[in-house]
Amino acid sequence: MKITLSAILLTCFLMGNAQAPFYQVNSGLNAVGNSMISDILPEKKITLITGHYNLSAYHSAFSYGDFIKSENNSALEIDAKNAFSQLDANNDLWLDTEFKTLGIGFRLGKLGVGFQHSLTAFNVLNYPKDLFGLLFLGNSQYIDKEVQVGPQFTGMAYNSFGFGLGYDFGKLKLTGRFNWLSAAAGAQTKNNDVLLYTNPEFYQLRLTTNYELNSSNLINPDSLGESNFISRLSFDGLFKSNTGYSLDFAANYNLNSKTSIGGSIRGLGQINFNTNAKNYRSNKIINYDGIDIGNFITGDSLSLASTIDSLGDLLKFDESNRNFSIRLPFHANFHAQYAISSKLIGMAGMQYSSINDASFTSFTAGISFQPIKAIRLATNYTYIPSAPANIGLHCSFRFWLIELAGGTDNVLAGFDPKSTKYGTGYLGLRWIL
Amino acid sequence: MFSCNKDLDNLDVQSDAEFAFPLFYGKLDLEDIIQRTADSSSLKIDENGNMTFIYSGDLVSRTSKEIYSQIPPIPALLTDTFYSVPVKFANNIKLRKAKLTTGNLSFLFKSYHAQDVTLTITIPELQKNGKAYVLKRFVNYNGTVPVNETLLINDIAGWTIDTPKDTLNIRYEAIKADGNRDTLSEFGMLATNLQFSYVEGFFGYEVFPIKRDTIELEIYKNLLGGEVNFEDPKVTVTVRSSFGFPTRSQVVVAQFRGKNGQLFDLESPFVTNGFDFEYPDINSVGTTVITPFKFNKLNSNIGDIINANPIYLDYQINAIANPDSNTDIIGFMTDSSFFVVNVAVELPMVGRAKNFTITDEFQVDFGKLEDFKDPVFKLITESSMPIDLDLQLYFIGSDGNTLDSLFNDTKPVVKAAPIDALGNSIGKTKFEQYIPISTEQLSRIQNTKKILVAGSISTSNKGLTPVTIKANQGIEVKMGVVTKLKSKL
Repeated sequence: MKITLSAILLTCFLMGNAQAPFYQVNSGLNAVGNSMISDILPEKKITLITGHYNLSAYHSAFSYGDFIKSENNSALEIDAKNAFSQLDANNDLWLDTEFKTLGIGFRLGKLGVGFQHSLTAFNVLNYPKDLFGLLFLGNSQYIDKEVQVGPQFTGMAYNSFGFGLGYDFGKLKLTGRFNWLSAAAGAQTKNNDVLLYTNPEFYQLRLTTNYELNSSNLINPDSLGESNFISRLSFDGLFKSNTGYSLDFAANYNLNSKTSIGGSIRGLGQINFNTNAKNYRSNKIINYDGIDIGNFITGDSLSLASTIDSLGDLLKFDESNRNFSIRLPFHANFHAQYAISSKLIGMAGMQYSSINDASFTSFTAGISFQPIKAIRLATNYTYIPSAPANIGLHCSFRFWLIELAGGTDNVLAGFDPKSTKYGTGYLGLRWIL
Repeated sequence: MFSCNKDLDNLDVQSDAEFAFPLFYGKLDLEDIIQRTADSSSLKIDENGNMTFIYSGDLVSRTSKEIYSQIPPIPALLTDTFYSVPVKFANNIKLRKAKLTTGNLSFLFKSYHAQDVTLTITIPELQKNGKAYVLKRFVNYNGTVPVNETLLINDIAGWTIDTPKDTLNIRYEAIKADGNRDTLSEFGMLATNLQFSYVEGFFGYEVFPIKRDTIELEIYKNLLGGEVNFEDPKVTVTVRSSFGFPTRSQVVVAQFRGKNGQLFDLESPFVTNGFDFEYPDINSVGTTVITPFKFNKLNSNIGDIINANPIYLDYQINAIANPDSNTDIIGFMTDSSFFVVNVAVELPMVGRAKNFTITDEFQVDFGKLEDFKDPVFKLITESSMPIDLDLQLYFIGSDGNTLDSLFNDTKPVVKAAPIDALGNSIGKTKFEQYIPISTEQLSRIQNTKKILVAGSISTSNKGLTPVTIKANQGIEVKMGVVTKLKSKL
């Protein structure tokens, strides 16, 4: 059972404390602001970011509360049937966090130059409904059925050193950024066919696999069922030998004095893993019929423990040590805004992200209100097909040269995090010099 | 840097997940099963797979050295120079030929002649290399008469006594010093210590006692109840003999004893009158002839006795040499002649059983059974044996107390295979059984150290139809389980 809690662990892995709400992809108002342009093409001469934490989580199916009925320090009571009923054939779990430790942008006339360092970790799990059903409801419901239980997974944790250039054409602002990436850990599945058939005769199991997992310091399939299945992650050291690059682009165009549109694409690149690179592959048909009773007859003793142990030995991977690469998740954003008055701005946008077979799409619309120059408040509604109820609240406060901004695209997650499938949160400090 | 504050290693996850997986499988030939539940050393299987329980007594042997250690002494008192000694012994024993390995000859006589005498003794029936035995001696006259002479010939080993007419002729010639032939007085001869490597003759009516013995019938060791009827039980007496003369059995005792002490005498004309052992003829010296005699249901009451499930046979069967005392039958033996008698109870596995109850026990390790919750075991048996098996399992704790039983009552787990008109299995019968175990029951049996199996076996048609059980028959057993699992599996 602990194996299956690895999904929960993934949450823990990113969020530090599982009590935190499910969080957010950059889909809402935060994205509408299109911060990449302001990071590289500052409003004034210099913009300095001295810490900005951005966190998002999304599960396409059920919420934490749908699944965990009760909990204490030593026990979890789960409501797997309820969670199972809310699953689609394939389901996505996105966990994404970014911490900008330092960012600086210079405006040299119309030219902008920027540098940024950030720590990024993301995990995307795409899993079939029947995997959840197998792990949490058991395979007895699949007797005489063959079910696909192979999950897809991509996860990475890396340092990003970004060097950006931007140009202000007047109505049009264009920025681009090259990011040199240094990863502490990463893992990705390639083939994901794991078919389980439970024979109705006496429940013999047949596992047909064509599954491959590449991992560097992240997942140890040989420890399936043990607590070290997922490695503890460390960002110690900025420069790792797992290196890569990515390109980000953003643009904003003022249609007139009140209306502007913009968009960005990010994550065009990959990281090559060669540190502790391991490839786990299983491409075979495994039949398990239990223990041959002949041994029991001759041995004068029957050990049920050995039966269970041999069951656990079913899924063994062939291991090799080839380098591998993982493409970054692709993000695209489009937005528009309209200045209703000098203090009131209406905004709308959409966000699309994808990696492997997992994708995420959201639409948002909101209003920004600036009662005084130092304060800006905003609210937005974000529509996600599987999580339609998301009300965002955002606030920025400017004092002297400092701007403190924070918010969420789903404030409801703050009040009732366990009932939330989607949540975001950010908090950052920016110097405008 | 990031960590989860829950210790998953010790987290108890309460789930209703229900898993189905196989536990064990296997094909058990009947031979395997019997080896596990009965005395396998008693099971014999022929090339056709026919099985027979053979419970054998000790091998009992008698050798010629034990029976006839040597030829009796042959005395003779010669009243003339030519004298025929009839070679006849007590009990009508007649000697026709003997190859001696040891033997002593003694002659004694008196000479009343006042002169030296030259004595020549000839025994034509005592030969070596085709030549008769001749002894010459010079009798010295020393001035007094009679001259008493005793001749001791200690070694006639290698000589052959050949007495086709049952007589030994002794002739002597006494030539005095003056050249005249004369007689001697009180002339006697004694042949003693006549051991042989081969002897031919009539050895008389003789009873050779053979040690009393018992045979335990292991098949009933675990029998608690029920009936078992063997179609063709036998008591076999196998005699291997290299003695060359007629021998017949003499049954002193042949008595079966039941579990409760009841006695069953084996009754048969062959018990009363005995049966003859085969023996090699005189042209087959050195060969061993086997007599396989069987007391069966046609010539005895063994069928009735065996079907009363006796637990052992008490027997003593002697051997009678020349039982008819027919002195015309000339037999032989050598110094290595023997006979070996072996008695066995044979139970060919053809018959019927009704509620034949057996019990056995084996050690178990339930290991992670504690992680099961409300399991339902599925047991499948597919049998090519023509027997029904009902079973009950008792779970025994470390202190020997019964913790629980698997069923409320004995339940069928194996169904008999279909049979033809002769009782031969002609197919397989598959039988499925679901065995739910409640969590409470599981808790009770968690500390089981051994399982006591009590089985009730009936042949086809509720034990009314005789069937043939063969070694190649068997049972396929498969078991899986559908169970909820507790967290720490």
